[in-house]
Amino acid sequence: MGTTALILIAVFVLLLVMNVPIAVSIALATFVAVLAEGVDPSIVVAAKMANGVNSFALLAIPFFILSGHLMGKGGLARRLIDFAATLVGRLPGGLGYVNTLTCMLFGSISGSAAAAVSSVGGFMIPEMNRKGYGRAFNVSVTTTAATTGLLIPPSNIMIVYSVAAGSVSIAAMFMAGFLPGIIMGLFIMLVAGIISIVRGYRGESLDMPAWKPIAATAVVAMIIGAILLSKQGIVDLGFSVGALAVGNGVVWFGLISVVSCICFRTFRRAYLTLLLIIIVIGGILGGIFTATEAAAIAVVYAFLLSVVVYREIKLKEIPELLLKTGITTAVVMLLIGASSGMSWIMTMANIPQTVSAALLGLSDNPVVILLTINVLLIFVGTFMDMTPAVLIFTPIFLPVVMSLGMHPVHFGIMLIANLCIGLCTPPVGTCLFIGCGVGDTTIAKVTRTMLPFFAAMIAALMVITYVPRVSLWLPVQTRQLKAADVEKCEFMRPLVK
Amino acid sequence: MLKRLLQLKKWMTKALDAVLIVAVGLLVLDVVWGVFTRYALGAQAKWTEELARFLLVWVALLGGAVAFGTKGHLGVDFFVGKCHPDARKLMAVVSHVVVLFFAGSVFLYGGCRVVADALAMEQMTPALGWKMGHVYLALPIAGVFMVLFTIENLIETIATPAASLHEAEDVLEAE
Repeated sequence: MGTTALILIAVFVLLLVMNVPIAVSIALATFVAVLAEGVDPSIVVAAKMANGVNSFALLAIPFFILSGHLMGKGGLARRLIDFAATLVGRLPGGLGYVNTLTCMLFGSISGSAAAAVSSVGGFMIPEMNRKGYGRAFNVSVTTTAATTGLLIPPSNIMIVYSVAAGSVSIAAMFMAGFLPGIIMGLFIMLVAGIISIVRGYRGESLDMPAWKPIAATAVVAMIIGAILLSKQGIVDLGFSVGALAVGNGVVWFGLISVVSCICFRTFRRAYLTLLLIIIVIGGILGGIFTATEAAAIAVVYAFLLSVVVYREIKLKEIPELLLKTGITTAVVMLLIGASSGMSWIMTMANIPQTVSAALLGLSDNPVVILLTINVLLIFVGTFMDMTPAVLIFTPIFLPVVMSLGMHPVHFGIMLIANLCIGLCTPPVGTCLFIGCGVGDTTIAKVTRTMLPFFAAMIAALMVITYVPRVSLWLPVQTRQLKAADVEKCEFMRPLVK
Repeated sequence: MLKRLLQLKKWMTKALDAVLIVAVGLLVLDVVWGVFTRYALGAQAKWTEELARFLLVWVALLGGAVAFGTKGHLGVDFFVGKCHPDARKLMAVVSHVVVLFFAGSVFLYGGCRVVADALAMEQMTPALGWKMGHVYLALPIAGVFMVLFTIENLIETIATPAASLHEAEDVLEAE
């Protein structure tokens, strides 16, 4: 490795250990490395920091943060909880499922996990404590389930990844995250279910006849079946998944909405909230607007819903929310700006090639290399937050895995799923901290209960890593990725076929 | 004198917050207006996309400065947390000095030079016809605030006894 690379890494690690803000550590390491190359650094780093954030795609981040704030405060989480309770509340350990499902639904309207922990957990954890569920169990379910929201679109971290990776489509990333997010959620539910049965947690008794949840599940199954059948060309119901809302599809959608609203009080109350998912995802997929524009529309929609329709936020609270959004955005953006300078100097110093050679020297088996990368990333994730980890390690590992024939979208999903685990692990785990705060307990008391949930997340990560189809099938079906490009990726071909 | 300075600092923070609030609000309106013009008026106003990007640069840099004031930036406090309180205090002081150097050299000095270069080369933005140097002005302005806030943090850290620094963090963890 050249001197520049060594200087870059040494300065960066030194500053990081001293608890200098990560954005400053990155920028100053770049500063010193540029100096070592014999160029005047101040102007280079300053220009990189300003130009690194001068991007329209990145604008989606403040918007999703803002809509998350609006929805978290606006009582939308409460409505989603009631809806989820209707579907799965009756099962043994029902509130555990309700919690997970709500986190997944919340993740599909907001882009961050922290928001899900505080707004869903803020209501669910005290409720579960009161109903006799173990405190540590409640915190564990909420913190791990909240991370599924980072895989289920929209997701800010995917936008960060697609900027860090260069030419990766945000819409393709969004679509790729759906199934992995659902798989992770199901694995967490499975663990929660087993623990509930062992400990004898009972389901909820809801004030409605038993056939209703069954009917609701049947309706959902029928819709999915109809979509699948029409994709095969067997039945034409007008569901063309490429553009979700066209022709008969709209009629069907309206029909199902009306019927469900009449049958289910909770669905009716959550309907306007759930509609946001259709607007954002449908809008992006149908090519009606870009991810950034969809995010801006989501802000306007969430604003109308929480301020005008539900009236849970007062107008004079808005400036405070805007300020909070501005600061959160800036923290992420400074990291991105600083990283754009660092990835430039890293390429100049041949760091990705060096790492690549080292990893490929270790083994030429893709299974082993991916396992190594995953173990490294889990280690990094335990003490570094997600955004800086994605920004720093994408330019290092992406060239390696691409030379193995892995698709960049698949790698992005793997990276994010991996770092989700780090959000829930001590010593540094944002979600865990918030969860423990909301649940009024300590990290030490929760860690033991967390273990089976970590096992679930790691199992989901393995599925996501070694079955590329899980990530790549939906983007191809929705025409966000070309089938030919995916076919070209040699990685794990026997498994794909 | 000191009171005056504190008053001035408070006033400047308020002004910075207000600018940030207006900028985020404008961002939303600007992008929504872009979508509206595309569908309602048939052609998207070209300046919306450009204005949005510049606003984002301003939000990022000025908000970054505010985050130094509220200590909102992400760091890795794991290793420092394992240290003796005295060592921890020393590290905190060093860390603030490092940030001060960063704000001064990159944002203030580097930023001024970026602005000067862009103005000298007469770079213009394509749609709005603004001078690019004016967009980059956010760099030195954010730099001034960063230096100010960091000096304040530095004084605060030096003034706090090492032992109570420890307690303060324990309280944070308990929360």
